[in-house]
Amino acid sequence: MNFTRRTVLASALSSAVAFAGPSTAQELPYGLQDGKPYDGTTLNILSVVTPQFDGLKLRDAEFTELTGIDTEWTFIPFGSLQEKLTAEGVAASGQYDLVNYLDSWGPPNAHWLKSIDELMAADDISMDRYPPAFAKSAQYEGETKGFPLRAHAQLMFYRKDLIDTPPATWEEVVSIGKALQESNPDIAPLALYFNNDGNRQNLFVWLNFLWAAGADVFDDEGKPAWGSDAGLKATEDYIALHTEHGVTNEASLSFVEQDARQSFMQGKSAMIPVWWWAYSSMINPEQSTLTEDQVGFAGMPAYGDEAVTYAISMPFSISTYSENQDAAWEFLKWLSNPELEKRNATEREVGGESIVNNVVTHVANLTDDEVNAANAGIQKAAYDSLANSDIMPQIPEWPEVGDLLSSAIAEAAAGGDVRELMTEAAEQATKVLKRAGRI
Amino acid sequence: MITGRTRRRLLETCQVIAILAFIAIMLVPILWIALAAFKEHVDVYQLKLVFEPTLENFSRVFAEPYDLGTKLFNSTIVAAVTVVIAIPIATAAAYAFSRFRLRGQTLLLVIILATQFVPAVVIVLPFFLMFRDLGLLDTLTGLVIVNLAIVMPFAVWMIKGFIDGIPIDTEEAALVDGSSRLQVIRNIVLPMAAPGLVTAGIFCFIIAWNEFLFALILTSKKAVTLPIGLALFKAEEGDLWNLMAAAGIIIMVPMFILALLIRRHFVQGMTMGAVR
Amino acid sequence: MRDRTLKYLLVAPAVLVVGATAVWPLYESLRLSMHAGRLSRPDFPQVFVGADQYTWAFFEQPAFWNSVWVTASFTLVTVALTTLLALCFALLLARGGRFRSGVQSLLILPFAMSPALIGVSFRFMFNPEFGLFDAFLGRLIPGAENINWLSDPTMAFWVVVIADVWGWIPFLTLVLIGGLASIPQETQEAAQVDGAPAWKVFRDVTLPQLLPVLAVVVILKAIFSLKTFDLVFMLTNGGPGNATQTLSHYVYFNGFKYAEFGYASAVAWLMVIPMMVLTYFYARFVFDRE
Repeated sequence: MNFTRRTVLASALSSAVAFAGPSTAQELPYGLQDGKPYDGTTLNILSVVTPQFDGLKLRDAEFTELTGIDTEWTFIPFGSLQEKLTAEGVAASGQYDLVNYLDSWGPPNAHWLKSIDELMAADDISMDRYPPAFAKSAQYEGETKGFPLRAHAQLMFYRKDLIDTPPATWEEVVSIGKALQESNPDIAPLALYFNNDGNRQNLFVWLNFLWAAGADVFDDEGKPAWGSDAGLKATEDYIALHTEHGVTNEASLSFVEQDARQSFMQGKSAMIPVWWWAYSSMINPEQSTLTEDQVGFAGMPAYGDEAVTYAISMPFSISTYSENQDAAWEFLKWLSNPELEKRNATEREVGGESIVNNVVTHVANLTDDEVNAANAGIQKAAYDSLANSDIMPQIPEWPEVGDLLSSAIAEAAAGGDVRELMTEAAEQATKVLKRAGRI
Repeated sequence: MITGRTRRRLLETCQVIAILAFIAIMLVPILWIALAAFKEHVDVYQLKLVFEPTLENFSRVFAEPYDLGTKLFNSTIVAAVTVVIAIPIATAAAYAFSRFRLRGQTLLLVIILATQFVPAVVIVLPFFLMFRDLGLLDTLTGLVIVNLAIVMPFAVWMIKGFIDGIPIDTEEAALVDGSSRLQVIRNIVLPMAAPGLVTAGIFCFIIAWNEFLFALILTSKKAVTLPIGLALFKAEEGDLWNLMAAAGIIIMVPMFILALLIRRHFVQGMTMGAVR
Repeated sequence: MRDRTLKYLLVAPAVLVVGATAVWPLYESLRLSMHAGRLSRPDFPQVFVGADQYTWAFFEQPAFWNSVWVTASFTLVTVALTTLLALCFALLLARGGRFRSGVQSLLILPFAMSPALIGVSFRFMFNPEFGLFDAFLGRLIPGAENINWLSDPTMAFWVVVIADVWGWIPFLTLVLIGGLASIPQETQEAAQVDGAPAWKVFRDVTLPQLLPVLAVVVILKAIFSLKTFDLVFMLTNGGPGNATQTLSHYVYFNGFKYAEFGYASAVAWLMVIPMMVLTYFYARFVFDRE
């Protein structure tokens, strides 16, 4: 066989393309257009601060080499990202070509985020490459607005030095909790977070209960449906963990998610249902008093017959105010490709900088052996968690309605009447939705 | 039998204790935050007084993505320029209000005071839209304009108080002698009011330095100021208290120094306008 | 140049600066309040809705009235507490002497802390698991360790009050010390020579002369309390629920979190009215002292 340069190059490229997915007519991998049609363009990217995206940024020289497109990343810490996004929408200046946002901020901004369905079809990219919940979080009213590059599944973390078998149901959580209160009174069994600080975090676990009971937030007509019998019972059982069974950390009333995580990491609580990414900080001695031997994780407990979990994501989208939308699409294709994502979760160093990241969102990577081997198997656990998973309603009025719910739950946990509070919330939510013309 | 003198001493001791308690309550929170600035993230959550101090927090807040150095620079420029523009304008108006009777002076004063006494939240949205159309979003110029609106009432009010306290005789004598009003202002009033002007200037500097809401809404990348830096420590993982405390110290220390400088004149200026 | 023209020229720059930077946005925000102003739809600010948003606030939004209530009670409580405490401390510190002078200098320090910073610090200190105040008060008052300061609506309200009062006492104490210092000693000494007890001297002689300064303090503090935003934003973000959501915070939430700029402007304008009333009285007060 003649190993000409061309054959070698072609085979190298085709293996890259084969890994990247269905090949197209172009020679470049990841569906990128050859001939550098956008050479010289600079793309501005608005992104949240996270090691995962640091890792991507440090590698994007590869992209520039393939396409001649330069990139400039602006990292904004999470606490200010929403204001930034809102401001960008109002300013309509196209200052950023690509924006990163929390999925629940998508709907109010959807009118200026580019729908990419046609582009995806032309490049043979399908949302099937993501778990359904993740895919849904980047879509609005049937249109795909972006790719969920950063997305999370819920897991139950527990002290495996204190608990032999993780709870498979919420009833087991209670019984384990009570046993723990006898044997280890110094540590609170379960760290929940009921406080309402405007971020709706106390809904994350509530949704597990609601959905597993067969109820939902809205019905098919978009009207509030959490006031159904099943919904109310589910809510009562969620609140009962604190008020009736008393297996939660007493401070759970004032905890927001980060306080609960701190409580676990400081050894003050023995179980916590929270995002999978919390794992790396739990075993990091700079942030936690716990060691790897002490932290175990399992899927979320079931309520009734099944466990339905809540998934959240931070997609990347193209701004319709951008003047470089085609170039931005090239970048998005490269940024979201599974091979890059795999490297970002297995390689611990990029150009001398240490990057610790376990977030992958492609199905292929969640189930990949190498990725799991590098991350204590947490991706597989997350993938299982995502098998039966959903997201919060994608409507622009969700922040307001969600806050009503969050407020009701906080008050209920503090001792209020669950049914009364949830029904009131439903009435007020109906008013809000009517006024917005949604129902 | 408690003599009068013992009684007075007892009273004095009680008062001293009360004062010490008061000062403790006032200062302990500041000291506690200062301590946190030197702690590792893990130590912050233990109520430890003894720990291994680290300067790492300070170096981290100056690095990306928090970039406190740029914010420090922005805050300094915005506050300084605001003061440099506001004080002369305010002095002119204050002099006029003090020495003359103007038609509709209550109305004029209300207008000038209106900006401070109207909640920032009311006008931040139109400001945002106005700046967007003028291309002033995320610029230091924009922030200066906004801060001018905020500090003007304080400046006018304080300086008027100082000028009120200057006896009018010297001016009248000079006027009779043939000086023009402007000369009187330049040669007599300004030198005498100088301490008051400096006080008002520093007071306005502090206000502009600490301004939060406008900076939050009207800046995004290049013109962000120090107080917004605080909001940046609300990360996805939660609040980074140790970094926040370090940033807090960087924000506070210049202000402490300035505040100490004006302490003596400060109270005078505050009350002169109201006490006769 | 004649004085007559000069005096208006002297005032003009200040009025112009304010006119351009405050009066115009006030007008704009009034205009915005009468449009739908939803940022989540295209073609901002969309249709003209007249007084619709005002009616919505008044009649359909319990959250609005909650904010009114929170703001009103917050203002009343903080003004009363701050004035009272500042007066006590001013009386304690007014006597002069090196010790007291030194303490007065220290008082200026908390003033240099911005409300945002105070909010963050207090949130840190009242955290039930690792907060300093929580540990301290928990040991001091039996039963207090179980209080979840920031998650109980009543307690959270009081924490915000405490943080606000803490922040303002130093400043107002200094103002009152200045006020006390300008009261002629003779009147007080005369009363004491007459044999009147200290509290009577205070009530009948000192207080009436202190009234002008006291009035300034009260009006000022009321205005600042009504406007409270930074503190709430950093301390509780309006929570738990909306137990600490002042009007300013309510406006911010509706405008920037729910993207309802039109409605937020309407509520904001409803706040302007009491402010203008207070400002007018303050201005009259300052001028009538001539």
